[in-house]
Amino acid sequence: MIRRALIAFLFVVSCIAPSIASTQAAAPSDAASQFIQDVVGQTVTAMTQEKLTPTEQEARFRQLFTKYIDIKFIGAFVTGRYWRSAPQSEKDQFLKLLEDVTVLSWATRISAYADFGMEVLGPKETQAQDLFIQTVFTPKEGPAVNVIWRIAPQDNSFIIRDIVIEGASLALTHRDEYTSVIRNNDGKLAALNEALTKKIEQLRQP
Amino acid sequence: MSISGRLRMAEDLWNHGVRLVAVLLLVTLVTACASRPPADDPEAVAEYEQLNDPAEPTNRAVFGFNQALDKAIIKPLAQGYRWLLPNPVRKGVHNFLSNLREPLTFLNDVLQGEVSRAGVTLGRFGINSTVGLLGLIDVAAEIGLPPHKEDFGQTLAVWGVGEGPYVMLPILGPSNPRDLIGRVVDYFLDPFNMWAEASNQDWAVPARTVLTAIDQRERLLDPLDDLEKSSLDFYVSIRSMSRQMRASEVRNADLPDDQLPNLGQNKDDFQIKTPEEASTSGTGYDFEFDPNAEETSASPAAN
Repeated sequence: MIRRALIAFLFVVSCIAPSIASTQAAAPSDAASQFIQDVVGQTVTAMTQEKLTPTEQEARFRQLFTKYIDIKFIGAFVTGRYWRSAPQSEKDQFLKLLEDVTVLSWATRISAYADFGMEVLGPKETQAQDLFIQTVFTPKEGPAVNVIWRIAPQDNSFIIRDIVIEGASLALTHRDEYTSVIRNNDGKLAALNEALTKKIEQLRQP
Repeated sequence: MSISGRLRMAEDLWNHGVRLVAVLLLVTLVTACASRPPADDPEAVAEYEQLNDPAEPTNRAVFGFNQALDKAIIKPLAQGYRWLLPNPVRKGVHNFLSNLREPLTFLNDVLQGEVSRAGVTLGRFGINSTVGLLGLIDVAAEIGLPPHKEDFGQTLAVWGVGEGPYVMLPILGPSNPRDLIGRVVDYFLDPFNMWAEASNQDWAVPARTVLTAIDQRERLLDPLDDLEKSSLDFYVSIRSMSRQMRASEVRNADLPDDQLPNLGQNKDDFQIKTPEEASTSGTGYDFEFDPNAEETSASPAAN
């Protein structure tokens, strides 16, 4: 009985599996896909090749971050409507703090999550100007994670504007969080800068 | 259990459970509401509607209660579970629990008209229940049948039912009225629950619920710690991520064109659009950005 059931199920699988395999077989042939492959490869190499102190981790990750992340776009996006009305000096300070808090939050995490395989499925065809590159991360333990990279062309290469992990956009999550802080403090970007400064101090504590 | 018995049970559940939840929701919405911005500030109104959290003060209070409960009981249980059992055993438990849920996913696949995904679920359940030793090993994933989860909340969404306002439920966490109704319907749809009732295995449903909660919390130990550590407002981070991920589950992880941003069209710097503007722009997205506008505004300050 079990054998018969198994044969039936294997038949179902044989009908379904080829269609799944064909969607995953697309080679990362274009420049955008190659860019993501290079960024992830460089990051893993830089962060995991040797034993690093937290300070070294931070310095290496900052180098990659400033090279590949569109901080001006993200900074304007995550502060929403408050960006326009804020003084330039507060905007400049915010961009620096945003870089610090992101680097400090991610530098130590990257090496903890670095033991994975990645497959670039290729760009998603859309009407938007930005490109959306679909990838799948397969950690050593746990389920595969779908990650979409939103990138824009810049200087014969690309720059990253958002990372969407299992449907959750990091930029959108930060916008909800940061605009909540600003809104609860009379719409002042300076209040967000103050909160970020405190958070950075916390993150720097061992 | 006979059909009349099940109907009586459904009536009891309605009388006691659903009514209680409905009252809770109503109390939540009536007692402490976030104040709606004035209509002459369309951007603030757009922001308020996008957040979809009219009962934020109450939701924050419930979130505080959940956090306290988590720190006192649920998280230590999950940490103990991780300490006690090695990863391969925990993985087996997770696979076993996931396999028990496959029939419910299959039913919802069918209700959503997703024939191909229903086939995958059926194949997974058959293979993992047999070759995979009652679901302990996810053999199906290894041969190209990846797992996915469907529930009646998602089915309602596919049928066009809106999510309703964001609600933070005690113990259960982030939700909304549509998904809450989905949970109740799933309880009756789930063949495992039917089996437990029919065979008078009273321990089965509570045992599965507790084990599933510990398994899920254990898998989230590190990501939630990281998120809390780096977050300025943990409540908002959880609300934002849970709503986005839920929407992604409803879309079956696809990213539709109408949710992508259209950039570089606005010469007035960066702005959030009203929902009406977003819907008529054809992008469905609520922001635009012109890097040149920002460069221009940056130059005077630089001088």
